[in-house]
Amino acid sequence: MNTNPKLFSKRDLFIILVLAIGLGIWIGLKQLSPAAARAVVLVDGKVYKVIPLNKDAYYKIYRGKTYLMTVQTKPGAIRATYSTNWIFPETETNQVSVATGWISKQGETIISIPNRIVIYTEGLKKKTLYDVMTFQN
Amino acid sequence: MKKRNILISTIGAIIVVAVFVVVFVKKSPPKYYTRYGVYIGTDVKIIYATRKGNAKAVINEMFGEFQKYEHIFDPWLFGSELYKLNHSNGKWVKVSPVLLKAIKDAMWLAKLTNGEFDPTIGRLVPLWGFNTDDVKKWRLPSKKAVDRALKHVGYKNVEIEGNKVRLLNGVWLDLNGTMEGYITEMLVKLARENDPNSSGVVDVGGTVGVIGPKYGDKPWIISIRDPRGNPNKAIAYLKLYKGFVGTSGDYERYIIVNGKRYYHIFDPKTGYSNDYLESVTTVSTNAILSDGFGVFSMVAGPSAMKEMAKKLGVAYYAINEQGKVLKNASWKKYEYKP
Repeated sequence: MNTNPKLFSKRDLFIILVLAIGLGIWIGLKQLSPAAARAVVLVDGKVYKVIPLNKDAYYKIYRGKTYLMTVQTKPGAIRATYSTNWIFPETETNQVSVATGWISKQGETIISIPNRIVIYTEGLKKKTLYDVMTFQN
Repeated sequence: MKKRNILISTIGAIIVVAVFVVVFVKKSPPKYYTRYGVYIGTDVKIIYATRKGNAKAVINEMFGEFQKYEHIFDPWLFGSELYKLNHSNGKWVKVSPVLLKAIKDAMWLAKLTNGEFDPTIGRLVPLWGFNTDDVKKWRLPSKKAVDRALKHVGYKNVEIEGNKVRLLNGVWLDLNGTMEGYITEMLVKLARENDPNSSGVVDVGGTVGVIGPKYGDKPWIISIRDPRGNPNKAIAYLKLYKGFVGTSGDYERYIIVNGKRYYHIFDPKTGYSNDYLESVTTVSTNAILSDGFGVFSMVAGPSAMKEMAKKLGVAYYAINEQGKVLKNASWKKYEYKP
């Protein structure tokens, strides 16, 4: 019987080391691995659709059955190609959302005030040089 | 021996996890939560982090305030508090503390600028159609109609007594010139009440208020939109640790008739917009000034802007109609070159 055992044997230390390295790698990978590029479409402040930015495609956005906007995607980017006006469906808006063009950086947005739509991106490698933008109100 | 090994390994793993938790949670920067939306006819973005409570819940509470604001400030929304006040036919009206404060703020700036900033231009707005997002309704009104509306403009027609307001001479209030500053200030206050050491920014339609420096000690980088570029194109940048920044311009609500640009900020003396400046960005510790100073400058022009900025202690970055940048000495400390 061993009356004076060491607190940690070599084997114990090896197990602890392996666990620590494993945990370190897991945390590191979690921090470094980027999320897939996608666009989040908000209508009335709620998530309407999350669109993967990995292919060429068109998507239509509706409020209930009312058509609001068409967006086009290509790998790493999204733009509005047409936006209507749900308040005055018979007329046109000033189409600021369409004039915005492609957005391909994290931090850029497409906004349609009359339709209450916000589109922002996540998981893109390129980022804007700013946190927020000031513009006329 | 086997049990002992398992026990020691478990203790070891717990210690390692504890160390990682301490290192990553305590030392790591706060986790920012961001939410976007469209409210009161403009887009809103809030970025927030706190170590006290739940950042997401605080942001949701801030966004919840907009329901209230829409039913107070929209002068064109039938039944809103401001709509009712504008249609009260000269009677005294008891108003909510929120509307009262906003009217007092706007009147303060009107007096300070001797009426160059005037929140009683309400009658002019629908004449031009700028009260709607429908561009087909934006038009150049007749001179006769403008002159008729001008008879009902003048900040001296607003009387305040306690919590009551009276609008004389048929004036209509339109608080858009300072409303976003006011709301931004209220939301910053709400966030700081939750946690005075919290960090983040509130952006209400381009009027930005800093809740606390980024990661505790870094400035927020704010871009200024190019008044003649696409909506995501920046023309300059500034850094802000605290305070407010706002922009006024001629590039979102405008019409061009016979080569002349007419936009939504009216000179209360003429009923038309002036063509001195394309854009004015103002930094101030006062949210009302960061919002309203730009409106004043668009009306009063570069000389008055320079003089008033000195008097009020605000920093500005403006672009005149020839595309030339005008900035005062105070701007230098905010300037950021990426």
